[in-house]
Amino acid sequence: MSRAPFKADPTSPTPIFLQIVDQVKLRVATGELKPGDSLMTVRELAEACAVNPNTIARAYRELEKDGVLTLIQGSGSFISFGSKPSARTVRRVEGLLQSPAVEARLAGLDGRQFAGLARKSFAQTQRLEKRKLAG
Amino acid sequence: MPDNPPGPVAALEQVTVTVPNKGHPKNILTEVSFSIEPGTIYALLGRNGAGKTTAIHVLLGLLNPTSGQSFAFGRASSELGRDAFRRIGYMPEGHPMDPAFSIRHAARLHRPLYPSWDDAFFSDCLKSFSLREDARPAQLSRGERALAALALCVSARPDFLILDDPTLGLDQIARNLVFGVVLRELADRGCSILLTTHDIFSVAKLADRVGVLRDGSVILDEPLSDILGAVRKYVIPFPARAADIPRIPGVLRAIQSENEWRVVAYCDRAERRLMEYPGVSVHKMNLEELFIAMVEPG
Repeated sequence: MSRAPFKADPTSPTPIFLQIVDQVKLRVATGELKPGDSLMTVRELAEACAVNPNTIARAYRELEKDGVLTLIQGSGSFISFGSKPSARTVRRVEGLLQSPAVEARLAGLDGRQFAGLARKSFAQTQRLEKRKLAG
Repeated sequence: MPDNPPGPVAALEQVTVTVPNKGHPKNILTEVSFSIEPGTIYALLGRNGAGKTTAIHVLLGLLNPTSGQSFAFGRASSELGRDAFRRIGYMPEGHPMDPAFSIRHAARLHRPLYPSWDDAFFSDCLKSFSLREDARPAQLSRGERALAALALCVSARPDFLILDDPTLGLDQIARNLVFGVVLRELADRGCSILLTTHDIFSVAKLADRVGVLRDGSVILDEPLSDILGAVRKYVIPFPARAADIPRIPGVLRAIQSENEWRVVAYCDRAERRLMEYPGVSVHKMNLEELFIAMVEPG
């Protein structure tokens, strides 16, 4: 597997299972991981990160619930083919947007300006994807 | 695999240990409850003297509690027989090894006690730790003694490992070797593990569940993956109605210093009320910050 392994940072306030979830999602968002790509087995990744395999299993279950991963008994875990985002995922994104929205309001931005900034960061993830493909 | 009754591998239920103390009986443990589920790692944390080792002694039946109950493999700890002890690997604090015996000799003494003893595994362990079989404890560094003790412990292929501060005084390399073995015992064989340590960041990578003891009481007992997201620290400067704070539902700890309250609380239950205090700030914590906030004096 040529890809850089995922990182587990025990000094972060983010639980390690969520760190793994976030890294997988980022790689899917930037195109580094593509539909049909396989992930390491729970065991392999647990060993690579030196973390409890139950923690990795939890991360994979969360990713499956979010529709990012498909677990196939006996074959492994694969990045899902572009399904519609689940209600759960949409709720999560909504939750994540809350604190930037508060910041924007405190900074005196209006809704249109905030939406503009959100569009810009969204476009940046696509540029990241293109750069990855070109490199 | 021997039969396992359903439920936890081991548990303490409302265990209190009282010792006579010049006419003023003192509780070493007060109504302590926690349990270790099969195939998981339970990390028991606490400052020195918090009662971690005493809890292990109760669990193993080495010490009878003043009140409360303790179980392992579905049997009362005080009635654990040879069949149960064959399935338990216990590494006491300080990695004691008999100075008279070489590692090889110690292994020869262990082997007949454990039907599941695995010679090949033992040799592999020593090789991966770069330990020579003919070395005696006096010739070993502290780290090497710990690794030798661990090799003896896991080569009996226990179902339940109890490691009391296994990395005490070890350098980072030896610590990684110890925790690497712990993870492999879980991953390869589904071994259940009770671990005490002061190495909080290793716990953040290893544990399924974390218990915190303070002055003999369990003040936190939660799945590690949930606790970091569920608990926050709130700092309230110059509070007006200070006395209310510790009584707010969901508050785990509230410490008053000269000019502020430092509060650890479940955010879903307590945050709304805590945010009403003027000047309050909210902080996410990593496991070490949470541990310190829970056990710091005050």
